[in-house]
Amino acid sequence: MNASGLETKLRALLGSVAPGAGAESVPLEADLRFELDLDSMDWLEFCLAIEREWKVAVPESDYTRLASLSSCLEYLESHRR
Amino acid sequence: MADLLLPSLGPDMESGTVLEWRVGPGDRVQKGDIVAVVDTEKAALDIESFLTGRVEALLVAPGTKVPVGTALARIKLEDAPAATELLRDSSVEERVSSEAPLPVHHSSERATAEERGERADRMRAAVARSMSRSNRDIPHYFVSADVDISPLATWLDGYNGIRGATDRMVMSAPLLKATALALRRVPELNGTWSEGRLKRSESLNLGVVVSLRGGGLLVPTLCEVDRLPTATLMATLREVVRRARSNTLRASDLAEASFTVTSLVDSAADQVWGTIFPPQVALVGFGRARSSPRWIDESVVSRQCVTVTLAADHRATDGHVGARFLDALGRLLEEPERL
Repeated sequence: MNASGLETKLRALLGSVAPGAGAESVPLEADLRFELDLDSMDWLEFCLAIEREWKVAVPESDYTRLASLSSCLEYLESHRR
Repeated sequence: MADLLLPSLGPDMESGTVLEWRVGPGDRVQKGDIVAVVDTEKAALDIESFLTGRVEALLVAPGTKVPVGTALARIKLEDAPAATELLRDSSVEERVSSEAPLPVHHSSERATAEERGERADRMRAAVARSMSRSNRDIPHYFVSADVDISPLATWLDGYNGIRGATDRMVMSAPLLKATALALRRVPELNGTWSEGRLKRSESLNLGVVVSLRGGGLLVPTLCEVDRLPTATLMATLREVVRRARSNTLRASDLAEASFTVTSLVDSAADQVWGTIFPPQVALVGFGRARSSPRWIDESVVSRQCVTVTLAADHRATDGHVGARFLDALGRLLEEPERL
């Protein structure tokens, strides 16, 4: 999956975790938890969705590396290498 | 033969509208199976069967608003003698089948935007009624304490550190458990005010405030929280929050609560001074988990703290009781591994 494919998929996952919150248009650098009004339960669902989609483990210590869409993309890229 | 009745899902509920049937005549149902979706003022709810048997007839057509206690369906009980065909109410069945059914929505998106808007308006109205009644009728008092949750935060880091996202826990789960155990020690806060006196509840059924995206809130009930292992409580909480936010709550999620918890631990609010849900007599609010300076022996150290604020009904209890609750809760949170 290329970068734009990853981004599309990430936005779709966020959209399913937080329907109607505007995941499809959230800026790449925006703080996801604030912009999409995600609480810790939503965040857990988001991490779970990432783990399932890309078969990666997302330890709690990596949460800060998922703060924005662009950092999520970097994170996923680094796991593919 | 027995009738499946429309249950009351809260003190204010007088009626409900059957949105759709999930079963038809001839289907087998077990206790706990979802048989219908019913719209109430607060939300569309999945109604579970409290009977096991075979559906004889549906008695209420989709789109019909009926009072609480109305027979929705007739169930032939599993071990009841067979007398089915004669008892079938064909006239009602014909009425049901001849009316145009409501569109069947997927559970994640059970309503059109317009219906969602209407429901949001009604939910706002229900919250407005309940909270106005609370502020009008209940003389609130508030007591508050900064609780050191460092032991809990450390325990939670250790717990989550070795688990995948499926099994991780959020702070609210152990806070709920600790609340239930503290209420066992201070049972005066667990109950309802009715007919001029406090009626204590035998069970620790906690209402949990769930904020909804786009505004509004729902307060599903977690039953017998004191008896649930914290991991089970977390799994239950997760499912209930998911159901609340996807508008797929079940009738059993709205069992009568005896106390309410509102958790803003991962918000920006240091404190939350809540409004009691009548007829309950108390509510606890957890503010943001934050680093705070604390005196330990002779030095100041940084600790993780949460401001816990209890709102309680002064007709039922006094500040002394509220303070005892805060004390009990603080002690429980010092030893999270025992929760």
